[in-house]
Amino acid sequence: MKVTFPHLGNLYIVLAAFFENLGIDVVIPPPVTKKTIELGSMYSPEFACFPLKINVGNFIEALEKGADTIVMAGGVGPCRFGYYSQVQKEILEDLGYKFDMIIFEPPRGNMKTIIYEINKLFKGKNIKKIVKSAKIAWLKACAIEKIESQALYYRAREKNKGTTTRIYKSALNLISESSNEETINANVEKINKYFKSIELDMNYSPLKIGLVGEIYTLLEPSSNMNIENILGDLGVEVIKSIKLTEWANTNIILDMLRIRRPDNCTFAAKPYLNYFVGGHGVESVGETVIYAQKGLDGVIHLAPFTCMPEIIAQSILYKVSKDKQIPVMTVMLDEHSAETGFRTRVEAFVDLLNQKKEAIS
Amino acid sequence: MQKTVGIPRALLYYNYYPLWKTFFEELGCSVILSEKTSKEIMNRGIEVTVDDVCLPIKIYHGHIRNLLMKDLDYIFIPRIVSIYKKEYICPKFSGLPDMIRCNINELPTIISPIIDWSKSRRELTKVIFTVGSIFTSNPYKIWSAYKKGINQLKIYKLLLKQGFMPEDAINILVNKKDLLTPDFNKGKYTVLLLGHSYNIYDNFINMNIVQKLRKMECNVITPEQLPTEKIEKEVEKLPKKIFWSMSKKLVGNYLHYIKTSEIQGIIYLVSFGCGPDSLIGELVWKWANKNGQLPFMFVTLDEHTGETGFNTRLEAFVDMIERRVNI
Repeated sequence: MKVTFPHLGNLYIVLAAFFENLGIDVVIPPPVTKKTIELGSMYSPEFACFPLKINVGNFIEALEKGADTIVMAGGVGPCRFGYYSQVQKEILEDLGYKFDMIIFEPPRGNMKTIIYEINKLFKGKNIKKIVKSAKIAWLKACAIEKIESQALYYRAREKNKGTTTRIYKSALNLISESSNEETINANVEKINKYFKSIELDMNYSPLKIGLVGEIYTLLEPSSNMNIENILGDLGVEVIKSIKLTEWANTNIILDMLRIRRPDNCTFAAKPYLNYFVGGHGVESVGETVIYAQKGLDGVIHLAPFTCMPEIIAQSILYKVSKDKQIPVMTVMLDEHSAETGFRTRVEAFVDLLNQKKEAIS
Repeated sequence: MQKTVGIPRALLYYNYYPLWKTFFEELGCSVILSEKTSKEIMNRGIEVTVDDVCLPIKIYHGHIRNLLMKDLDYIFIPRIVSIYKKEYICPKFSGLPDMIRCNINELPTIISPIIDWSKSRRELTKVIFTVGSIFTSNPYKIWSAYKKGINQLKIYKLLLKQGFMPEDAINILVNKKDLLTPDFNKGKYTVLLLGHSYNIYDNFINMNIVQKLRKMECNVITPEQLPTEKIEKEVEKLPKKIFWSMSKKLVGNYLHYIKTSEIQGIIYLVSFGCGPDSLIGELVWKWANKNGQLPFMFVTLDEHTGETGFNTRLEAFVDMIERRVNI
């Protein structure tokens, strides 16, 4: 069995660690390139959302590399993500690939099917070993998240542009190479030192821009033209609150125990969007309100083209922006988005915020 | 004084209007309906919405603005999240009242009950009484208004099953005409018209597709004509439950009719950017291609669709049916 899975930011490091520790062969899909996106959009429904298309591209490339089992998450709606796996399966089968698809539906769904699916994957594996692998994977996820947030802080303030990104890359390599708890912890220390060694411009107070929107476009750099780097290189500090471990916590663990409670975000969104609309629609609105209260300079709202929850959020963000006096820019992304145009829009937005800041001070 | 309640003639109007109308009228209100969808209504909707929302939602905004020109005490914008257990309508319906509030100013009081049966129908009575108590404190009156509404809805659905279009069916209901035998199923061919109710019944959005097909000697079957049990029976066989009620209905219809020899062609109408249909439509299209027995046409509609091009496609499609039948 050779397992593969879709790319989602740095998630591949975590999943690869989990499966490899269990002794399952993993084929990591090649990094997302133009070709991946092209392949994906060629075979996917025209109006499907962008993540589905990139997923399909990932799967095709991984199957070509010899993978025979696809691990994918499911959902219960109303966001389209819940039906991704069915459509993707149909597309890949039509293309003539032979493979098995293991779909993890949220626990809210049917317990029986979930146990059946887990069985397919972990047949004959020791439960102790599973727990141990999960623990290592979790540690890596936490370490990666820390690296990501450090990179956001340092990139905006570094003196020599490009240092942080270099360190960020080698830090990810270090984490993905670590094989047990001790090395992970040791490497985290090492990485901290690396980051601290970056020369910073202490007199500079960067613009702060919040990133909100749909989780895939926020986490997968190839889908958002690497907006974090673009903003960082312009000297902007990016504030992001969707984090993978947090998401896993609320959506898998708390959900299983059925103790999911409305959080700050839902509360903040209430005057504007008062009901669950699937995906991250409410979060986008809520986070924008919270960022405005925290005094951020602006918000960039990212979403895949035709994303239903985010379109609702977009309609409402106009009002939030006006009421809370915070500039908001929505960017819809898909395979036709051009990097130059995107960069120009982001730069113009940053220019405006800079001018506003200067005018005030 | 009699209170007036405005109901936009869009979206789920085509599914539930007789219930809403009867309910409010029994409580002593007068119901004001927005005008039929027109270019002007569409443009007024486009003015206030973001580019990315689908055409039906834009048109809904237009209808709300049309209602604002009338003298209203209340406006009815229900938040219809889910009608069946573990199913949803579409995220845009869940956020509809919020979108309207943010996009349109100077609204009268909005009546916006939350219809969310995704977990259970326990809240049903609560919803009825909260809405009803705006107008009367007599619980008996509220309950009987609801019962009468449901009765009207049942008759309405029966009329749709016979093949009446919603406007005709509502006419029959309102004017208390006798049930006429439908005089329209006389064409040579039968076409299954798949699509959400607000697309296939709004003659502005679909450019009169039903009348055009009937003129070309085609009978039209719409998804509302198939009993729910039959739909359920078909969709049960799918590997994963479809959690969008409206798309589920379309898939059930497709799977049912493809096995019979009742139809000679299938037309699938979608709005540009429709989320559920971008996936479900693709699945149906793939199945139809594999099956290869029936002509299948996928029509995407938005505010830029030209009527001439649309007519040409429709005529070509009927020509194709004609040729296949005559071979």
